[in-house]
Amino acid sequence: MPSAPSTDLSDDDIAQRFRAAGIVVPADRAAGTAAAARRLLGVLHWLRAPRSVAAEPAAILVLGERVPR
Amino acid sequence: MSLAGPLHELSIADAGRALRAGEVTSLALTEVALDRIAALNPALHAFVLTLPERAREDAARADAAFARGIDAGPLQGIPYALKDIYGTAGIRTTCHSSLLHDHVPTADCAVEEKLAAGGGVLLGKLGTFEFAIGGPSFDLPFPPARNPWNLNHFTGGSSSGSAAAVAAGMVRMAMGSDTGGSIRGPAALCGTVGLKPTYGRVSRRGVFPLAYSLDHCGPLSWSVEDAALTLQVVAGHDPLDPASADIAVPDCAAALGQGLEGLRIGYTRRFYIDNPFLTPDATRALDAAAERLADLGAVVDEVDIPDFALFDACAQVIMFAEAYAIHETDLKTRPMAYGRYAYQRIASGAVLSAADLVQAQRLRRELTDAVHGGALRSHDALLTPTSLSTAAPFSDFGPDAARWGGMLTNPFNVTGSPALALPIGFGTDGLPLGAQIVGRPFDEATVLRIGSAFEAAAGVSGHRPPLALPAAS
Repeated sequence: MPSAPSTDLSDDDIAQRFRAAGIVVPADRAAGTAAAARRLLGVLHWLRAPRSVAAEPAAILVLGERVPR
Repeated sequence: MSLAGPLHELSIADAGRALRAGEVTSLALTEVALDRIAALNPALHAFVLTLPERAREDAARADAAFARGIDAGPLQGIPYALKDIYGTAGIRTTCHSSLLHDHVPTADCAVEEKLAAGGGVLLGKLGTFEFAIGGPSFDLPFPPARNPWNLNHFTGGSSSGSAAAVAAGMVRMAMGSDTGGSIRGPAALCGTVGLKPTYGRVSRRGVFPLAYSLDHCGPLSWSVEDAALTLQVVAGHDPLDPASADIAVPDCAAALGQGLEGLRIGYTRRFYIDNPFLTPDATRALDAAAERLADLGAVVDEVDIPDFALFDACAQVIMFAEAYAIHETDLKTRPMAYGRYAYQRIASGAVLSAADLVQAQRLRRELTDAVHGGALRSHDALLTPTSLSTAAPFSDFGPDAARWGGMLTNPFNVTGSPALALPIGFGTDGLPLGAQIVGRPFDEATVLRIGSAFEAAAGVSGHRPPLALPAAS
């Protein structure tokens, strides 16, 4: 079982990500929003393990069912 | 037949039999429900809107149909309610948010179309976490629903009002939605049944989305049979929902009562046993559930699925990326119209990159293949926890932390598998504990069959929350 999510990004790094997205976080929600972002960023490393061949292609566009039968 | 017990405890199946035998009217069932809502809702806050006139009209129409020999199906004359993200024509649909406080859709959602066509009686709209994600918030237009087993505890979410209403006997069936466990979580914490059908089985058209590729619609009910009967009515292909599957809906209720002989059930004990949120009560109840399924004739053995951390990462990234995309404009232009919890959680999606989302989608395929091609190839179904503990008290939720641990539901939003939340016992605090039965895609019949056999043998559903509800502190 993995440890609790964590990220190496600093508070400033996270704030910069919000600014880059055009999000101006209300001051009284800044701490909670940053904490939620930190939790989310903390799980990203799980997504970047080596993929098996079976995982490719990602198959996000499927047209087969649209062919008239 | 004679009616045994109070009317509000009659199942859909029993109420249906009584309606067809002329032993009770839909109007009588409706008045009992409305009275119970009036008595209990001030403490439970399950309903955010009741519709007594509409309900009486629906009931009178159902009674007239019975009198003319018209039978539109198992929900004819049965009162029900909808989570307040289900769009209803001419009826306020708020998503429990100030943003949509005065929103009145012009069309019914697909599920409501089917329930109305099936002769159901709409009692009202039910509370939710804001936009089906926030948390048990006190800064919204309506207070959060409270757990009927103990008013000082939350219900789980986000189908919070749906679970509270069913557990309190206000209604036999309430529709919920499930993006990461929002049907099964509150069902487990309130001691009800909750069915997340296969992705694509029930149309989401007209239901406010949380995350398009993870959202499911399904019922919460007191019994497995009632979930099966409801699925029969609300399932089916809808070309206007791009995820809807054009696959025939079997008679799931017909599979109930067949017993478990010949079924192989995988118990995912290693999946949860080292989870830091696991309580001894949950371990005992889950092990006992596995033993009971074996006693009932199933072959039960331990089976492995990928680590929960992988599912959780995949589910969270996809959910928050999609939710952020849906809410981006309002988050930027009207941030204070959101409650604190929903804002903080949805806005967090802004920090994700496009590459994060693509990686999550790649992992999703891998995880789905691992479950469907692995554990669910060798087994007919899986037994796995819904929650690893009982419901937390409201006092556990600080201003910046709406997330709670110990829910193991989102793996099956990732895979899209049908999953049935079942009550399996009670903790030492007297609150319910739950497990889920997970099946192969579009095999709700087997999932419900297993759930029904367990339910009949375990007797957990014979226990109801106390009628004299204690005062909240």
